[in-house]
Amino acid sequence: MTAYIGIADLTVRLSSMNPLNLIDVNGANAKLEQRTITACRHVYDKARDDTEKRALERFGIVREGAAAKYFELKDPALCREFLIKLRSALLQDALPFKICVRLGELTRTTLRDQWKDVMSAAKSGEEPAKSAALKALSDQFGVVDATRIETLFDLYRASSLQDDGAQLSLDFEAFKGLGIALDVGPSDPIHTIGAGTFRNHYPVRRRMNAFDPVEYFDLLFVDEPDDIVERFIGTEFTNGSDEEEGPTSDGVTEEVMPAGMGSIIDQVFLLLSRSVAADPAHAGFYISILTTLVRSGSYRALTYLSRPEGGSGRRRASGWQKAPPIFGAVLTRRKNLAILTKIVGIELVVGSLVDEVYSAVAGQPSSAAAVRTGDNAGEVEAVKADDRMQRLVKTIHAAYGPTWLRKVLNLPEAVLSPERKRVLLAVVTAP
Amino acid sequence: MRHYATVDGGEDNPLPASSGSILKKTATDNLRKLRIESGLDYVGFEIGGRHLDYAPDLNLADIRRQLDAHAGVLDKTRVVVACDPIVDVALEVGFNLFLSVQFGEDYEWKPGGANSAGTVVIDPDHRLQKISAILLDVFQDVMIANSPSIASVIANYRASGRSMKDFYALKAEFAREAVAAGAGTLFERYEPTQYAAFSALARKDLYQSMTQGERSGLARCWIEFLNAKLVDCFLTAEQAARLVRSEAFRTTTAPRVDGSGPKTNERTRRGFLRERDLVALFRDRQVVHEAGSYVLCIVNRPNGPGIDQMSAFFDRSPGGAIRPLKLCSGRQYDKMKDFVREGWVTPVRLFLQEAPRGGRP
Repeated sequence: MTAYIGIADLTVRLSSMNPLNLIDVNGANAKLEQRTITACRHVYDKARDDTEKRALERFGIVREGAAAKYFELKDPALCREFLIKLRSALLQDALPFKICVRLGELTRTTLRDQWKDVMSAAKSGEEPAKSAALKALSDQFGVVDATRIETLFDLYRASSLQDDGAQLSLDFEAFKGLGIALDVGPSDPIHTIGAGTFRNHYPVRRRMNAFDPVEYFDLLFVDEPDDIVERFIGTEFTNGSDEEEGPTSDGVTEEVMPAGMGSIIDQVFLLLSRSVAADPAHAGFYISILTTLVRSGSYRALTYLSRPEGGSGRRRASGWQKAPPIFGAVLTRRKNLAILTKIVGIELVVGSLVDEVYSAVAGQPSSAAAVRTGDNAGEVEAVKADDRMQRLVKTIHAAYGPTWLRKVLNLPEAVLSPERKRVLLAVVTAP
Repeated sequence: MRHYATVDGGEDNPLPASSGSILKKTATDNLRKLRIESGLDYVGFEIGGRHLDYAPDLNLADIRRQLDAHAGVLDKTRVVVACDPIVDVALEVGFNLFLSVQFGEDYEWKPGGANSAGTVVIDPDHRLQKISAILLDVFQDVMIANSPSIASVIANYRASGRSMKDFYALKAEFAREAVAAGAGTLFERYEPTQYAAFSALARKDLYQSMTQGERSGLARCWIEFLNAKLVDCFLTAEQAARLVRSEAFRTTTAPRVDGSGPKTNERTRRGFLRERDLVALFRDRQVVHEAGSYVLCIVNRPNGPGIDQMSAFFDRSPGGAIRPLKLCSGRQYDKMKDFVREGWVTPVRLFLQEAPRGGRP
């Protein structure tokens, strides 16, 4: 029977991700186990009825794994709950992790069960089958004597990995990123795992400064339209006039909500800075989670103020307003930019940001949506005319330098669709 | 360090457990400005978040057990945030929980039960802002209450045999009276009985940073509350002098070596103030003519910058040198704010008993 099978593991155990020993590995392992148990408990509590609960009790969720946790869940909604829960818990603890999920079967058979038919054929079967069985036994075990093989069955007691399980391990090896990678079949991921699935990419370094983007499916964070950052200037400390143009950094208070994603973003950047301190090449692993955060932000209310606004009580600072917390984190915070601008593959994040702002301006689903429809011409004109796209282009230019445009235009379609690239080019070249 | 606990709800996770640093930053930002404007000090502390496991019928006994697993966390937890209502059950040992925050249909502040001093219900509209706001209000209020000037009044209150529970009930009573007298709150229903955060009372919108109006409202709230309810616990001249000279306001003038010593913006040393000068000041019936709140302004460097501007506001000794001390009433302090902002003057808000008759000693 097919189910959602997956591996969750920390990447800190690989010495390359934790060379400075900034993360206590034993503590991290203990935390991973705790959080996985919490996620199991959560899934159990979220089970809709007794039948589902009985099924969970009967088959379990986490099957094996002293280090990496192998889990299996039959219900897509519960699998989704499990993934989201585990991801948010691990991020809050500032632990780098990856989770891979695919459809298939984690095996339950032992070697003895698996070779039962072959053994009986070798003992008492008809002639062509018997010699084939003997050959298979000899290939696998090196001996054909039944007693000896029984001994081997006793010695090798681990459950035998089926194809799916082995493939899952390969997926896990191949996934060079942080976060969740779903390989849930070619057809329609939305109908299998639920809303919030989108196409994400992680970069694989090809040469010094070139990379290949590898596409996979990821899960968005929950969309909170209220999770936006507003920036104010204190009236009491500034005696500047309303006429001043451009963003002022002095005395601007950024309102990051504790209840929003702000603290999780801080944790990701904390991990990123640690990894980069060890080796700048490790920063590439963070592209996937940064893109996920960018795609999860809410850009509907995004505005740009060219001058401060408001009366005596609160005055909005000029510059970007009502942007999701990740927007400032990847575009304007200098401390972060010092790291981000050097990452090979950062254009995947920048491109996603352009795409998301475009989607918000045009009111269209993003290029990364699992099922996509083309943009229509009316919206293209509206986007070209919109001030926000021009401002965005200028802000990216200031943050990432003049080469960003060429890099973004080279990105795959699922980051920024060809129509959108054309519009972007038109916006950049507009007088 | 104080904590909040947040119940894991997966996608409904109301508040990440890692948000303590954001809360602290915003609270201390606000309070730094409050200190300049009102002389009310604060004690900044780390704010930690704790995960709680989700359960369909979570009760306070469960929460208590989960928090008890971590050393020192239980006593310091002030708020529990959950999606679902928390069942309040009577425990043998109550814990010092101020609020439980949960989701519901309305935005209201409800009376507490056996073990929580209040329940704040948050409706889905602007949910994130409302959770953020209430947490900030609680921790901000704790920071103010811990400032030496207020803590010393509370210490007198407790020395007279009354409990903290009574103190919080007094706060709630004051808040209810203020609302009845016309002070607005953002809550649709507001019925605190055992605890009220004055920051929530001063709040005019759901933003994190406070406007000048909100800050002065908050300072007024605290000062009026102490004047109205705790006037019998105000400090004597000797207590006040000891407080000003004490470690609570200290930093040393030791040079910074290997990162030790006072950091930039830390309070300057006041140990050099002579006790009898201070006592004389606090016993001056010309100034302390009634029990109430005063601000002691101390010139940080009597021959430092800005002395010309300040000389009009401070007394001079017969020799012509500036006297570095002045006890201001609230209105007089308004003129000092600019000096405080420049860092020339250190303000200490003091709640003083009426000076004894008989004048200076």
